[in-house]
Amino acid sequence: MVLRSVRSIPILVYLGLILIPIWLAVERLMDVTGSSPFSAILSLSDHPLGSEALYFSFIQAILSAILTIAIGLPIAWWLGRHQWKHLNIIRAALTLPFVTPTIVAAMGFLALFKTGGPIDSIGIDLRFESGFIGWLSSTTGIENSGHIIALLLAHAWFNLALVIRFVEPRIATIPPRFEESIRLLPIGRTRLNRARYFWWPMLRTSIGSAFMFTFIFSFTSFALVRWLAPDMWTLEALMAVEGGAAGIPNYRTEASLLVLGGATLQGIILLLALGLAGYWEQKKAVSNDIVSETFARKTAGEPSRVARIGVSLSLIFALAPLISMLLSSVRIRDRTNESYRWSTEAWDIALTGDLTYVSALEALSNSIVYAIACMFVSVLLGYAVASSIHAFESKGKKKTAMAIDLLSMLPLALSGVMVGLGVLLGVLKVWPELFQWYGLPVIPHAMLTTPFVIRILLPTLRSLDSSYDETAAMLGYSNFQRFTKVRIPLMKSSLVVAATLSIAFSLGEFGASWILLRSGSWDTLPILVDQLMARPKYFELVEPVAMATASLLMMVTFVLFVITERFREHQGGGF
Amino acid sequence: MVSLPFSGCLGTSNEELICNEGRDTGDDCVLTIVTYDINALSDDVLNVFTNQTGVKIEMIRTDDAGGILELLLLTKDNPQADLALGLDNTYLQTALQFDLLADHDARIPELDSKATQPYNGMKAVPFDQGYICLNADTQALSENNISFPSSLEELTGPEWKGRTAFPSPVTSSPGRAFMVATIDYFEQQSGDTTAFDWWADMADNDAIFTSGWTEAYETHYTGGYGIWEPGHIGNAWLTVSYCHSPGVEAYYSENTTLSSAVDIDFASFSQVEYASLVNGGKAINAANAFIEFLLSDEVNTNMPENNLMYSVLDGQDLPESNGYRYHSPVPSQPSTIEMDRIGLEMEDWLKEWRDSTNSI
Repeated sequence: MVLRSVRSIPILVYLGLILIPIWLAVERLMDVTGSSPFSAILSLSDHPLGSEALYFSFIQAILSAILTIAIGLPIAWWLGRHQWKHLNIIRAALTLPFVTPTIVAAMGFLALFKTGGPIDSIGIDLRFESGFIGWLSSTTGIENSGHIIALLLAHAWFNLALVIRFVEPRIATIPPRFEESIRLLPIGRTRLNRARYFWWPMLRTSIGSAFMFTFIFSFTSFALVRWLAPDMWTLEALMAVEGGAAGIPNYRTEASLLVLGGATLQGIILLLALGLAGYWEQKKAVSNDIVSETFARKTAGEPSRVARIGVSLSLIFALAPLISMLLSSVRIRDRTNESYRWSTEAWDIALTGDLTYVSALEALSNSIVYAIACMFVSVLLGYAVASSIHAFESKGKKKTAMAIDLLSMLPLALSGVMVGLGVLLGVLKVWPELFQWYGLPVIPHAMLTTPFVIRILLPTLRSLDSSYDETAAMLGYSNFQRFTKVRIPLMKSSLVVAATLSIAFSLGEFGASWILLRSGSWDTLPILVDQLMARPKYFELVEPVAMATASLLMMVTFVLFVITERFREHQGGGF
Repeated sequence: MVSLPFSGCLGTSNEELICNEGRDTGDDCVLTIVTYDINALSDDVLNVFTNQTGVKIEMIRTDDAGGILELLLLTKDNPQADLALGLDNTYLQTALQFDLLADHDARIPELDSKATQPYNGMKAVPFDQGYICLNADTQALSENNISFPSSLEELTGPEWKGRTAFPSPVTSSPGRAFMVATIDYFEQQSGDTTAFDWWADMADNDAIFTSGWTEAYETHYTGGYGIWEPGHIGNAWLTVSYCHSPGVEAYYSENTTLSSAVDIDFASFSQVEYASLVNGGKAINAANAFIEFLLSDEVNTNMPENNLMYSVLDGQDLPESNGYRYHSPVPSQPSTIEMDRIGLEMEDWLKEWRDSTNSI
């Protein structure tokens, strides 16, 4: 009984951390609007942009998911079907966009698509929408088609790793004899039939999971929409802009109504999408790892020329925005004679902070402090919750374990802006002094990263051989000794992956920080980048300084990512 | 409460006086200022104040004047700042109505009469000013054979279809100031057309509505420095900015600019930005000292270069170098709507604006 109570503590702390701020925020918004969350959903259409934002969120998220699958599937196919030299490096390069902070991605794509940039110079004008893109706009009647294409490409770039990580291992582990057998049957003689009757049933759950996660991340897109498609609105972007006025009694109640209705509806949509993705993940898990990757790859042999070209192009696609951004930080456009010069002036200004309240180094130091604090909170809490779930599973309490497992995924249905607004409005109501506490941003960061930690640690806990623990107990090791000398070493890789991913997500977190960070001296790197880009740019170095700051953030994230990749035990799918 | 003389060098005795009422942050004397990203308050400027007074400054940053008001409203029961810097005369009345501000006790120098005209009480002190008006890209108009606009009605014509960009009055302070000016403009006309009829016509004419000034001026407007930016779209020949924005363009581009202010009677707005003590704020002496510092010759006369706004000190003007003053016309007849009325009717106006334009 005592043990059961102890096990419940981390779960209660975790759920409290997530639910209390959100509950308080909802209560405050209900007080201010006099509406329930569900009637607020119905009033979304009263907001001039409410319906439009909902429609665009859906359409762009579905199109982004389709485009991501269209680009990612052939790459996953080529990677999974052949024996590649330096496969881990290729995988790491293609996964890098997923851990890139969204504000960095936005800067990278702006640098890629700008006038005189690499894409513009080959005749594709996604900003001014002239030439082919202009023709496309006038033919289809779709306004801002260039910006929408830019946004979809950026979403595909960002989520490409999901398709590769979900689908490639599945392709690589299907026994070659299955395909050989189907080729001999009349039904498997054509490629189309094999795709329809063999590959699709084998891969659909992995493709479905990748599709749903891409949909979720694109639906809640904020930084990319803000910078790449400035005339378009997602629910997330609309809530972020209107959110400042939310929760204030007798003042612009329509803003509170929008946030209450928008957040409720978005939460429901994301929960449904997560449920579907979870269902497919579970189905996939039943029949995974049919044969070893190495065996299947050897049978398939060296990559074809088409595969080599395809994978090379995908690597260019993955790295181009980042390289373009880095170049933009040192290639300065002279406004008087329209020429360019190479210079590190922007880096000097970024590092000394001459244009901003804090320098890039001070912002980096803030980012690192928050990220490390977030890592400690999310890894400790995530480990405790994962252990509790595993303990319930081991004791045969499967339903309890499943219920907690599902609840632990709840924050994945909360976007950065929703969490930021929740903490802002919730905290201000019960503990206004906390608003001046330097560590405040750690709360939303931990809320957002802990579910990922649980998802990484839970499979490892399940796979631990209990005999080690039992032997240690027989040798007279105490609970603490068994934890430090048996469990921790066995879980080292997963813990490092969880910790570095938690740091990386916190470093790049934008939505919640954008809402919450009010004190200039607390600015993080993503906020500093956004702040620089939003400044009047009468001075030619403002934009290169923003690019230099974003490049610094990219470099730090890249180092963390390399650490994660080195410690990843299973080089195959999942995160 | 003691008034603190400021002569550019506050002494040790004043330092003690200023610091005895600071926020409780250990041994430090801290003044917390809520403001937007004001260019004038660089580290160097703030350090001068800290060196002279011993007061450290903490900034709470918001997006713009609207953000300052919203933060003050959100934290009304437990104020987080001592001084609000940047509320303008379209937001000030709301702040007064909600009792968010306290009387100052700073010694104020002689101020320009235009700066004190909207409000001259003890709860807000002007620190910079400027006129909001339409800006047009003269090169684009000339290339497309469009005459320079002389009335707002012209902008509803087909030649302007999809070629105007306006920051929303709901989320942008320049946008709000211009909306107020359009109300006055149509009230001064003899016809039945109201400002909101005009806004509806502009929406029908595919006017671009943006959430902030940056998006309208830098992303959409073809006549400004936005053309150099990677996110530039460049589909609007006319937008809302300051009447001296072309002057700023010229000042930073060796006396060249494509942009020109559009001086139409009653279609511009005299914007004044204020420094105000926050009701319930703690570092009262430090806040008063900062107001005096902000209005000192050393700081305020540099507003045109440092904050791209006019000084509020009597007898000051924009610098003449690089065509700053030459390209910054002073509107002949700005809007005359009083601040009291703005405060009373703003909520209704914003609602009507949203209904007319179907925008944010």
